[in-house]
Amino acid sequence: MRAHGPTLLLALLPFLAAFRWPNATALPRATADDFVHDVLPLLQREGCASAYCHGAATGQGGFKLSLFGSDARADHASITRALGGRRVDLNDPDASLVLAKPMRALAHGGGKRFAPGSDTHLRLRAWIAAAAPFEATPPRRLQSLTLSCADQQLAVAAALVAGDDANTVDVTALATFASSDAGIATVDRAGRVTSVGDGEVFLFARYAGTSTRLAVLRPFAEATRLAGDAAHPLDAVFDARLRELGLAPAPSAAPERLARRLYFDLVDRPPTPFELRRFLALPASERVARTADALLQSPAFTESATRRVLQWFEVTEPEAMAPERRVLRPMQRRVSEQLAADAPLPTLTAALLARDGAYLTRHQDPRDRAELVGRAMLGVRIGCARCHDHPDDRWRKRDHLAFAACFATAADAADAQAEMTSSLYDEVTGQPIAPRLLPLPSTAAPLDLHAFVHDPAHDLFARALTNRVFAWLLGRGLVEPLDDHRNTNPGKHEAWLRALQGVFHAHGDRLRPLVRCIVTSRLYQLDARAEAAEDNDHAAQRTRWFAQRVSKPLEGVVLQRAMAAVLGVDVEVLGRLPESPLARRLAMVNGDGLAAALLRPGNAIDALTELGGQPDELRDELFLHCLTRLPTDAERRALPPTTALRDLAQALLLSREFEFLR
Amino acid sequence: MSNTLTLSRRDLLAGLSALALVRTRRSARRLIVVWLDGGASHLDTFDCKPEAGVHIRGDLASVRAPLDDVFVSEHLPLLTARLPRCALVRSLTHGEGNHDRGAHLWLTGKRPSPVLVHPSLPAVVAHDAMLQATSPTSLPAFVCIPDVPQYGGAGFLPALCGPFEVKGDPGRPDFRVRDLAPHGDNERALALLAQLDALSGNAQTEPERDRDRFLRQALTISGEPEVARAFDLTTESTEVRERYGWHRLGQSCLLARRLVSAGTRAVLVRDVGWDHHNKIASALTYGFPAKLHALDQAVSALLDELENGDGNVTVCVASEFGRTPRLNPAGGRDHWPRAQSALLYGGGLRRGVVFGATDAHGEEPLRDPVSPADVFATLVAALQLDQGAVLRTADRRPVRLIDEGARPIRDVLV
Repeated sequence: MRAHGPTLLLALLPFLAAFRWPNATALPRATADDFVHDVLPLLQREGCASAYCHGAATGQGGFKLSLFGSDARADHASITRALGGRRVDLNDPDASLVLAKPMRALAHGGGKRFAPGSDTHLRLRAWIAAAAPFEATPPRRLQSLTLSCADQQLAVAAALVAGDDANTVDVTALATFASSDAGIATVDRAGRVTSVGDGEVFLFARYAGTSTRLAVLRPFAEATRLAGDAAHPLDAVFDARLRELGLAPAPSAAPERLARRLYFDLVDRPPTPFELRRFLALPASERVARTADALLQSPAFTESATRRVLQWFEVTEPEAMAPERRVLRPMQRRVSEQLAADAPLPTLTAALLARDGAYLTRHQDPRDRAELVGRAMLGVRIGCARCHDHPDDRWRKRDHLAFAACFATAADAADAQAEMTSSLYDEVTGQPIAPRLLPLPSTAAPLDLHAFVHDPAHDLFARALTNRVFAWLLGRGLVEPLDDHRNTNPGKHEAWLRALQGVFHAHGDRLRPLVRCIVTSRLYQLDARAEAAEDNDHAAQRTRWFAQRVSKPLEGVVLQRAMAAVLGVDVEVLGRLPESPLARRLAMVNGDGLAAALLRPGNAIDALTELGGQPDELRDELFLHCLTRLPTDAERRALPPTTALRDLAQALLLSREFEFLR
Repeated sequence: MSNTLTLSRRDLLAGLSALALVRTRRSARRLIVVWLDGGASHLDTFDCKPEAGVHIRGDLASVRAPLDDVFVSEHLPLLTARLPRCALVRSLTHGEGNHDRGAHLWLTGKRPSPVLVHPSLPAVVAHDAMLQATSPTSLPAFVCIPDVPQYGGAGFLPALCGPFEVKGDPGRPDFRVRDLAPHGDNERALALLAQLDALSGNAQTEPERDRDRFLRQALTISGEPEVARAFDLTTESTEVRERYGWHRLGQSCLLARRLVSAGTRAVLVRDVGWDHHNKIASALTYGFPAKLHALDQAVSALLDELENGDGNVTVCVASEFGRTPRLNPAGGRDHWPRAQSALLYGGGLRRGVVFGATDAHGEEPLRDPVSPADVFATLVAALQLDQGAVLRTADRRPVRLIDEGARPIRDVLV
């Protein structure tokens, strides 16, 4: 196992890179004169401040700590002053309840948390003996946190600044550790790392409200190159990374499958047999690029892209919400027009991000507007911080409120009914919260949302968007969930994300060139998991790292459009497929829509029959229509040529193969 | 050291209930939720304030119910007579004044979270049914009539716990549940489908396996006489159908009763149109069907029929929040989560209990304030589900079935 790449520390605070300590173990040990930096981390580490213990909203057994130690002052008061100060006994530290209970010298609902004589015990005791101070004099401030790994042992160094003094302290014994994937490596409380499997894993250390991470890689033992085009802007990056991981990419998918993927992904339907033949007639190296170019110009692509963009930006109305529809329709039309013209996406979001525009003000509460922009445009979930500081995210409650304040409009203030804006006052002082953008690197003015969202300094818009396009085409995002980008939820392949952002920007932030670039990459064209699955775990691993593709379920709307296209009928004939999965299957098996489409005069089956030909030729042609392939020998044997075309068409459209894109 | 004592007693209780759980069999109790979508006014249904001024009590009259201190709208005579069989909770209070947030709190027993959609109680019941080794019926475990309200679904639980939506309007004479029976002759096509699927190998991924499961369920249901009968309202006598009322809510309740009798574990009846910001008095009493009249007929008929059943059906009539005690200038009432009522009945619940009360204007609970999460916990207890259950999200995060701080209302439980 080796540490790899530059140690990634709070990726958004680049100055931290200066604090890499080659030999962390030689650092001075932490002292015991500071609640925030010496004691609170211990309580976290022992789990005292978790949601199921004293961090619960109502505390536990009368003792309440802020969740994950987000409010140090309240916690200090809770320990030193509440309950008549019996939790700490400054004269006789050993009589303190905060020692007696977790060591189970007295009954403790949470059981025994640490042993007498343990490091935690000694540190807590030393702090109490030092009169349980809240902060040291002069007060110390955590400037940066560095995680390093040597001999399977993590070490955490904290750069603490007190007055003019900067001091780097070993806080390994105070930090809390976690692994992003226990299937690759685990880390115990003391920071010992155990390697479990191949792959890349992120190890996290949390200390005093800050977290840092370290990527550790144990390569797989495969190694063949991705036979991509060196000139392709993504292939080289894809290839380098898979080689680094020691993964052999799957062979390229058969051309028929490729054609099917491309048509479904770009225009929501399989290719017709004619289109398939045209695809196959092209020189192998140009098939995908030339077909993609044609499809990207079609109105069907605009329709498909519009649907997705509306979903990403949440310009969709819940069913049966007529008033919302009235507001949303014009927005939807505009998005569609702009996508048809391949306008840069920042142009498209400009109208949406107007502070008094309907996109935002359809939510009454400015906090909802702020969270919407976070989710939809930046791919971050600031909503967690509405209720509590999240230990694994960088947003604090005050960041959330200040950002929400950016969304309060003059109309809100005038609207006496909008009680919600009353939430934008400081809980303690009663003062209105001053609007402030999220703490991201950005030079945007406080109320200039559009400049902020698209600020290349953080580039979160491009990161979230390219990740969504990747998920659309590859079936899964590099970061999942798609709206949860944060330091503690790193992408599977960070380098790929950066490359995708580069491609997006290189083409003027437009959607079509990005889509084209992805579908022409070798990665898009890899074969889906083989039928005769090898060792299943291993196959799953290969899929996880995108060395192999996996079948992708079609959404209801795509399925419906594809069925209509195959049968050559209007989408309306088929009717809308229900969303709930059982009702959908019932509609597919018994529904009037499919039955009507199958019987519709002049549909594709009629056209096929009129064309004439031997029964087995017609059957083969129907396979091409529905599944973009000829029947296998086994299928030919199982399906006699006398099989009625209508029955076969229905069976093919209902088959598992039709519902999943391989 | 009273603190220590409290903790150790709690430990002891937790230990005891864990023991009890080992012995309890999985529950056979069934659930019907009648969801008054939009926010039913407590002041115009079960918590009338005849003594208050007209701007508070509204334009509708009320009558004293055969229980202490309870004034019920005079437009609910049938339900008033049946209150001695029910448990009425009048001291509900919470802080969620938006429809979606209130619905989430009520249906899932959790405050809405920006990152996680919790499963609704009926979905939890369906999940429990799924975990049972054998199912006595091929009916879907969870049905929504006619459709599912926001946050009424499976949330983070597997898709199989989600509802089957019957869609359409059960109140229409030509109502039938779509697609239950084969349209014409599709047997040959289905036989071909089975061959094709078999030849293409086993399902490889979880979504593929889900598709196979749902398809299997659809094929089991299709044309199954027991299922067709359960969904077929026309087999009921005209007399029964009239008792429920020839309207959407009435026939929906009748269908709910048929389904739970046939083995469905949870039914959610969704009655839309309770968001009365304008002219609430006429909105509740005019038109066909008049809101209150339909509610009165439908739920009364449901309670009467369940009264003759096996006592294993639990009913909850609720909505997102109450409505403002003071009429607004448009003669309507706006959202008011600080006070509302809910009507409970059936398996596991006491009869003739009135829990809590609101102040003279129905603004806030006067005593015993409880939250929708407490009602959720109460129903979990009444349904004999595991109150200490911990559910798992897709990423294996543990989530307590009963939210921290929520407690069953002991006074309404048997």
